[in-house]
Amino acid sequence: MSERVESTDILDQLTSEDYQYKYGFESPIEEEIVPPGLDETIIRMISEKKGEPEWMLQWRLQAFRYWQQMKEPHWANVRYSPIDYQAISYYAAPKRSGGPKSLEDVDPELRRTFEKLGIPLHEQELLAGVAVDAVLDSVSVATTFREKLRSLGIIFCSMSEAIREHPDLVRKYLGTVVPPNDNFFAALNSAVFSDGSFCYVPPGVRCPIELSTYFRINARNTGQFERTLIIADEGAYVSYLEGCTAPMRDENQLHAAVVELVALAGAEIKYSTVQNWYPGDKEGRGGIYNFVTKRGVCLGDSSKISWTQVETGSAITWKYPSVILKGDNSVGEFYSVAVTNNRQQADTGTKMTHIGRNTRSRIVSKGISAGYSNNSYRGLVRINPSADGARNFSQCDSLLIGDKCGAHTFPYIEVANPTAIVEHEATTSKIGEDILFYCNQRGIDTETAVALIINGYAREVLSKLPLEFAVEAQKLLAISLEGSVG
Amino acid sequence: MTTVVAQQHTGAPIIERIAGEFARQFSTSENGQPSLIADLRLRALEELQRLGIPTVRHEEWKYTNLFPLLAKGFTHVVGGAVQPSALENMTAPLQRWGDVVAMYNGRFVGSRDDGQVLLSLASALAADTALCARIGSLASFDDKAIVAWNTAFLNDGVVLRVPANTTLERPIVVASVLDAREHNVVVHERHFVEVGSGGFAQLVLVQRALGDGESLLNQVLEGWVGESARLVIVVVQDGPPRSHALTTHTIELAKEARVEMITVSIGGGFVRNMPEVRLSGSHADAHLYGLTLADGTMLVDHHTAVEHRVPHCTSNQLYKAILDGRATGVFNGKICVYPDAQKTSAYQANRNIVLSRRATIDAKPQLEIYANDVRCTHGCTVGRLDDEAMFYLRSRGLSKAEAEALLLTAFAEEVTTTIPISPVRDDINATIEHLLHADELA
Amino acid sequence: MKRPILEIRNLHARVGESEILRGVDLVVYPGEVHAIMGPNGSGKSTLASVLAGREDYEVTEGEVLFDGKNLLELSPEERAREGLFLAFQYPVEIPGVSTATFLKTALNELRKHRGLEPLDAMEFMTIMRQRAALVQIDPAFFSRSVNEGFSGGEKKRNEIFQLAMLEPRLAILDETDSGLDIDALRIVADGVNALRSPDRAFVIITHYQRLLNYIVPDVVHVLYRGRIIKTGTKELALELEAKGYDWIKDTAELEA
Repeated sequence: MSERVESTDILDQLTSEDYQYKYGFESPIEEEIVPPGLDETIIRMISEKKGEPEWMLQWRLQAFRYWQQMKEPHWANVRYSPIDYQAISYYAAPKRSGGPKSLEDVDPELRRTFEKLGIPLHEQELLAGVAVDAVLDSVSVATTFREKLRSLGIIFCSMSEAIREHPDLVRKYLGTVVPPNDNFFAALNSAVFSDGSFCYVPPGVRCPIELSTYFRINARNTGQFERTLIIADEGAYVSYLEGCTAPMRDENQLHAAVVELVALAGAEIKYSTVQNWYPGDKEGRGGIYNFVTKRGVCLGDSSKISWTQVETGSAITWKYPSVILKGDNSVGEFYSVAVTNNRQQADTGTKMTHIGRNTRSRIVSKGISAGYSNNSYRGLVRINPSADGARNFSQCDSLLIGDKCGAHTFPYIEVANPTAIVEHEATTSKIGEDILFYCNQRGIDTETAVALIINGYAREVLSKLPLEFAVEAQKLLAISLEGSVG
Repeated sequence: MTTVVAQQHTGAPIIERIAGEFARQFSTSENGQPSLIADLRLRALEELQRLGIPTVRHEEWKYTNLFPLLAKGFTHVVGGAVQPSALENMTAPLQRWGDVVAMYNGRFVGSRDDGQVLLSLASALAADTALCARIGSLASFDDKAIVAWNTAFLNDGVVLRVPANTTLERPIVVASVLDAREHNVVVHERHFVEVGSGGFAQLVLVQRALGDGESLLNQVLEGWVGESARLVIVVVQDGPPRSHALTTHTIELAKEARVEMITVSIGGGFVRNMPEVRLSGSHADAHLYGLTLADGTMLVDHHTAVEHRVPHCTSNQLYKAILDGRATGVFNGKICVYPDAQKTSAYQANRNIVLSRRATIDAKPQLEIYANDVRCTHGCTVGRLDDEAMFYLRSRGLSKAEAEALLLTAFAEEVTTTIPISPVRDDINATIEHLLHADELA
Repeated sequence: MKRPILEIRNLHARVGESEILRGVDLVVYPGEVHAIMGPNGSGKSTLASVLAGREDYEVTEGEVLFDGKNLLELSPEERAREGLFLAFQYPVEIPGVSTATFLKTALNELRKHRGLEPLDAMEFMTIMRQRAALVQIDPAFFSRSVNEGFSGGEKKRNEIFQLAMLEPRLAILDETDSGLDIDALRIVADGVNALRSPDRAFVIITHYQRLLNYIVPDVVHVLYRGRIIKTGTKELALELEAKGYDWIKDTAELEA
């Protein structure tokens, strides 16, 4: 791993180029949008349009009933104007006649959009070693490498397809990690989720390529409600990449995804995210509201789930990728870099719930605040009475750039077992003047120096990302902090 | 049983009972008290009624459930007749710590009131309207149910005013005696401390229980430490399991002022301490230390707040807990750095040892930082005794229990060594050693 | 007649309330090695900091020309790009930033300033390996974070390595010899000697004469109470070593 980082560092240029928000465009694609608002009729309509079986419809309706009884939570350290849930359109799909059978069937306009996004949908994919399940707005349009994966018994498809083709697996696991009544946003997602990715890796199989999904929010005023479910059966391994880009817009857009991970005995799931959704302009207008529920369960003994995230986008980020460590000797990891600039607000962290014996968790969180932004780490480490020999180590650092931003740390530590060892450390500081002067003396201007220092500060987290993601993430960090040092 | 459940949801019956007691107490004995105070009480009661009793859904009370405690049913009492010898017996051993002032059921007793430096709050309020106006200016009851409850029943307490450049040679020991011989009692005490610039005072707060009933002390202290002055507060909580405490000690520091607050919670049933320090003058320096040694069904909650309001201040917090039996330890430590409070240096450490399978620790260290040129760190650990150290001691012939007691004593003494009053420190260390070795014998 | 690379005239500088440099005059020509010696607190490191542009110091009087340009109006990074290099007395640690990344960024900034194309990774690696050999730096250093966890000697060697990489016109070595054992001292000196050239000048700030056994200076200055009170040849350094600074202090006080 360290070798990778070295080569990244050396081979990759760190100088910040003039890099405007490169994904800030809209693609004029004909879309089919349902009228705004949410009631049972809309849910029935979504389910019907997707050709879902009755059990799925009932599942959605139950979730909707939960949601109606729930209140929008406001405990996070973020402020935003009220969301009118009846003003949101809950379904948008590119118009098409029948599903595309191959790349040639895909709407050329759509393909151009993907090209602009840099999603390798053609032959280069093979070289890049990435299989892409691209989600434009709400419907999966194309997937590749299916055949190769299928030969290994790996199922990688859209959630809609999984509901049709693999109902037993979906019914067995959907909602077992994040129940429909888990929280307000999860309930909403469960009721109206449009699509997402499904992955199942059979026992003993190591998925040979990094699976990836690109999310994109495109239709105006269309909430995005992705639903992702990944199951690694006994002894299986899968690494999954999620990248997000969004076009520039004025209205706030709600995103409330749910991601569920299930690792059976001896299995390992690595889930990496680089999130650079539109954060709003300098005054905080526009931008995405990112209210996501991500949770994994280490169901079997000696299983492992690792979350890595680089969060630079969104106006408001509210997410806590978590691990329930149920199996004995299971391992949970959370590596995070969260950058906020201008008026961005982020309240992010993780929850590690230790249930099994000798379970281990590690949390490394690096927050960077600039401009007028607020960046909070919120994490829970819970050691249940049954978790003999459990161990946790957490390191939560905050870096402040400028004197108008805030950095906050809210770790919750709950221990009910005398054999557990929990260690939490947090520091808050600014970039040292002496380091900046040292860089200046070597001819490096302050802005470049800050980018350099930030990448160094975040290195432990970046090193956990697959190489191609790490390169992009480094650039993102520099871009998102541009102009923050005067 | 059903009523208790209902209470847990709303707390309304408890508030109703409190309001009833309020009406009974103050309609008959209002004469003599300035109207400013009567007005303050009334507003505090209204705030308490508005807030209700905080439930575990309240973020600040997430780990500490007041309802099982309040369900015991406490009667509000103030003062009353007591045999001087009974008080004397309780307070005599405290003489070696300093000059003892006894508070009997919330009423200042004895002849210590010198009308200058040390006064009873009741007499001071009667004579000094300026003081009336300052009550509550530090320990505001807005959004704080416990302070509102205390303020609604504000009666008496100790006023300590140390003139500028004056050092009080002997510590002042405030012994709060709660008489629960007839019924369960709740007592509200309100203390006021002001150390003039360059002054120095040491205060020891200790709680004593009379009788077999349950007693609950709701103690609020407001303290101002002037320029270059120093205040030491040692809180000793070593009562029996039927003795409970809610303390709110709010201190404001002027330029170059220093406060040391050491809270030793080694006894009692339900204990919640809410020390709060505001660093309002540059180069002020706050030190907060706490030790929890809990067994049985004890609950000890240290809930600190340190506010860096101006640049160039330092703060240091160290809280340690040893939890056995079915005890619960809670630590919620907040450091807040205001915008422009540059060059702040704030440090916080929370170390916990859990000895029993049924004991729990809940910790929530928090940093809220709005200035960039700061150095703030917090660390929190939960663990057991170091296996290496245990092995080393046993290889030198110590029994497992002896080795454990020795290491735990050393762990605890890191906090008690910060007590600058040596007789207090020695007595507490002896008690701790005794408690830890009692386990060894058992 | 060559033009001086550095001309300091009547330089006064203060930090906070206290004036530390009180009229320094110094002229350095390309190819020369100047040693500035002096007791603790004489202003040696202040002089280095002022030349490099550290903001804590305020220049109250005098001027500094670097290659004929007014040095004092340039930002620290502009000075560096013009070819002024400071080997720090206390090199800072930059967590997580590898030495390679750091130097590649710095070198390409310098090249950009000179209108040259940035080096690609392969060209850069080639140069880095070559210069590392010059100062006996293990290539394993490249991937380690800048100075993080380095010993005192390693940090100083890393400074000389950076000097070799960035090829300045003027290198100021601020107490580079402090904290070095004899082997490390020799490696550092060998590196500096290898980098001496007719176009490059060195200003070596040191408390002890020891380093000057290995790097033979053309001129030796004694700085005392913010002024250069004596200038001589390398023999002056030996004399100082033998007689101690008290000797020169007495002389200075007599003159005052």
